[in-house]
Amino acid sequence: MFEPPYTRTRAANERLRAHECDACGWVSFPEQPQFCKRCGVDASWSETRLHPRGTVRSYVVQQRLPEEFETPLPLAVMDMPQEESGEPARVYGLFTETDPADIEIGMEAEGVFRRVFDVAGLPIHSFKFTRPRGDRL
Amino acid sequence: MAGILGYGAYIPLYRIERSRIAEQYGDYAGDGETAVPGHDEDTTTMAVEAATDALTQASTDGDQIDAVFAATTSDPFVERGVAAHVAHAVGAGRDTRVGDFQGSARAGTNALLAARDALSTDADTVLVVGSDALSAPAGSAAERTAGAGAGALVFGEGDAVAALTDSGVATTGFVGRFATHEDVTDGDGRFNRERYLDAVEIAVGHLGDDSFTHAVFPAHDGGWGRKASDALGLDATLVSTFPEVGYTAAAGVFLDTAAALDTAKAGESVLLAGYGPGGCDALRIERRTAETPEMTTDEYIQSSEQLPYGKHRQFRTWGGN
Amino acid sequence: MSSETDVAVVGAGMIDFGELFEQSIDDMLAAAFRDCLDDVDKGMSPADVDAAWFGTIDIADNASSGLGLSHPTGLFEMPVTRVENACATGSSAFRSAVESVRAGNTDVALVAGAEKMRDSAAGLIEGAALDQVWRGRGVTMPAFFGLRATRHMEEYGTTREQIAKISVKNHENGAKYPHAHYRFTCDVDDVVDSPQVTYPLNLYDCCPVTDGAAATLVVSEDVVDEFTDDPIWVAGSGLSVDSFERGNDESLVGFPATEQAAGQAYEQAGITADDIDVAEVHDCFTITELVTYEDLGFCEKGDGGAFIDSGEPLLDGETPVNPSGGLLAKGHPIGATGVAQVNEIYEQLRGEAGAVQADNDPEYGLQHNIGIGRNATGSVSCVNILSRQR
Repeated sequence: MFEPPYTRTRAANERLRAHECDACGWVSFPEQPQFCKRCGVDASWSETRLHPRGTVRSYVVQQRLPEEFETPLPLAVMDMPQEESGEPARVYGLFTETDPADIEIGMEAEGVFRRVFDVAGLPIHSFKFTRPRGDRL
Repeated sequence: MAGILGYGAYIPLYRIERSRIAEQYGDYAGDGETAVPGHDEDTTTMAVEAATDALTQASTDGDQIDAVFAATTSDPFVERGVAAHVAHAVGAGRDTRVGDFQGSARAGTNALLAARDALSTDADTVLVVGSDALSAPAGSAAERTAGAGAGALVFGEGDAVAALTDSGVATTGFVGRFATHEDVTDGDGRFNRERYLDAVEIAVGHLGDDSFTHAVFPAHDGGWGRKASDALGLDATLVSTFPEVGYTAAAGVFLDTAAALDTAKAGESVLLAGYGPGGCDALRIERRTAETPEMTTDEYIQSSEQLPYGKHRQFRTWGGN
Repeated sequence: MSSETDVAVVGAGMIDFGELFEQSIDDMLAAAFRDCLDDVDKGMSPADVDAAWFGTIDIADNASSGLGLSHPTGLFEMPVTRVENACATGSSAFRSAVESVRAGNTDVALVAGAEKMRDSAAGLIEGAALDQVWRGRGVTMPAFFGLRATRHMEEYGTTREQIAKISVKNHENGAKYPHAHYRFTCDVDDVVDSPQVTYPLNLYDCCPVTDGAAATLVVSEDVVDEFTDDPIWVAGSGLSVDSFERGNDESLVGFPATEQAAGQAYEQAGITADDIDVAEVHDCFTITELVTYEDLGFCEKGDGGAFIDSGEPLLDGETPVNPSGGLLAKGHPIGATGVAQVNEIYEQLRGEAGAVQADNDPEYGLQHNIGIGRNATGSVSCVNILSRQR
């Protein structure tokens, strides 16, 4: 976590810190809030936090990826709700430890804290998604 | 006395049967399974998962935490630390004190005692985590039981689910089993066990009250706990995650304690003997309620997936552990 | 806008696409330029060119500026601009040239596109955004488009077979198209039984990795008579960008950027989707073409599967789509792709498309590219419309 890009995004990556547009309610994640991507306003923003349990809006199963990935890798477009209230953020979600047969549109997936990759040997940590552990008893 | 507001465990999804490891080398191994970290898990991620469960039970937000102490024997880094990264991930503020406890499985109880002491000086809320993803060379005896997992306790003022009420220490300087980043040396098992029992007896002897309903003796040999219990003349239920998870060193202190708290009723008490190179710490933990975290240790154990041997090696390598 | 100059296409050239290990990007560009000059009815020489636009994403790191076009073509001492706009690079280069001519700044403009895809096959994996945590890590091209397929099937009941039919159609056309990389035919079973690349897409749902170059000459109405008596006119052009991160559910089942770009192009041309007689659209994957039917307004949203079932986009259908075999058969050398599509429409409207000539006497033809921005978080879409009538 010593390289500038990952230091800038660390609160988003590790704490799911996000920002809500005061003008239209759109949620900016993981970027720092700039001009609002939806309403285009040079908005003021309220800090918010995403809840690490999202809903699968669509998904694919990646079969061919570089060595560092475990395949088959389900990958989804997820809606992640805010901790309190408001609109969800729409993000890409990498899955882990999930059988592709167990994923479907509309399912809830649990965000778990994982090492996403290394930069110069240092781990970058953030959330991946998985079929909830409690469903596997 | 230090109140425990919440506790939590974490065990990776993946397991391998010890006999399956042994058969790769034409050897025999008894029953039991060993937990294997996923390729994207490490000591920090597992610690965060356990801490999240404990903080949820404690109804404690990250920004209420005054200190984070982290214990591990398997930090792949010589310089980086774990506690500060756990602190950041759980949302602790910049004025949070941190401490890393390493170098011995006893680091787990060292961290718990440090937390208790911090509460009596400048901290109101302390998060303590233990996390380990042990490694061992392919084909070694230690490979079969080199487990992974984490546990966490939140100390603070409020509605305690348990309390750390007493402690005793025996610092002997004796090493026994030791490890480098590359290898594990067990030494003479019977000789080591004698020194172990000696240290446990001294430490437990310092406790004011020697009656317990539950006892945990996390150790790299699954038989030592029974020997210790017999030597102490205990009439307590022995609780251990060793058969299902393997040896988890500093994390085992927390995992076994969590497993014992899961089954202990209000008013019952747990003896925790944390042992590793250097000696033993004995702690008395009393249950105040029967409240358990959202996922109990047993639920983590029961939700599992078996790995073949090759995949288990690959995951250990990927995880850098 | 009466001061605007009308813009005509007067020449189209390209090389046979394929795995051209023996050719450099310079070799390919020179050959396409030569082919293009030869194609001009009354002839054209390099000295006639006033400015050039060069489309390439430079995947093989060998043409970082306009100079990458000047060196192999000898076009110096003039404005040469390199254009990069993801997979919409070729059509964006064409659009840029058209806008300059339309504004009266240029009389004769060359548009050239080229890509050495096979010099850098590993470069494709860069789509996996390995340095990103949330913004597209692990999202390869088939994943980005496949996400629309999964959702489209769920939301509209589109079937796997309907999606596969796009591949069958385009390979059928490609087998007849002389410049195509792949010239084989296949059936629906071949597609769904081919190896899975990214569920729900299989190998035959994906365009190949192809080298190629193409060139087009566009001129102003003031000089068009010097070059041909049979020009094809640029009727409209549009370009737009969008991102699924903005939260619009439409972007999970299609590409609003295409709808926006098409809207601009139709408006400029004064036509509607119904007026299009033939189209070359971006079929990097089968699902891309299926949702593009909808985004371009060829059918209602959700009816892409029924549209292919109806046979309308087949070569002998009412609105042939990708008579050249599309990216699926012809190949997708990124910078060249859009330029080659313009060329195909030019030939279709002139009735010179040979074995793949649409038999509906096409009046209006549409060309479309869609690119995905860095890290697969958005899309850029470009639509150009050509017409036989000025």
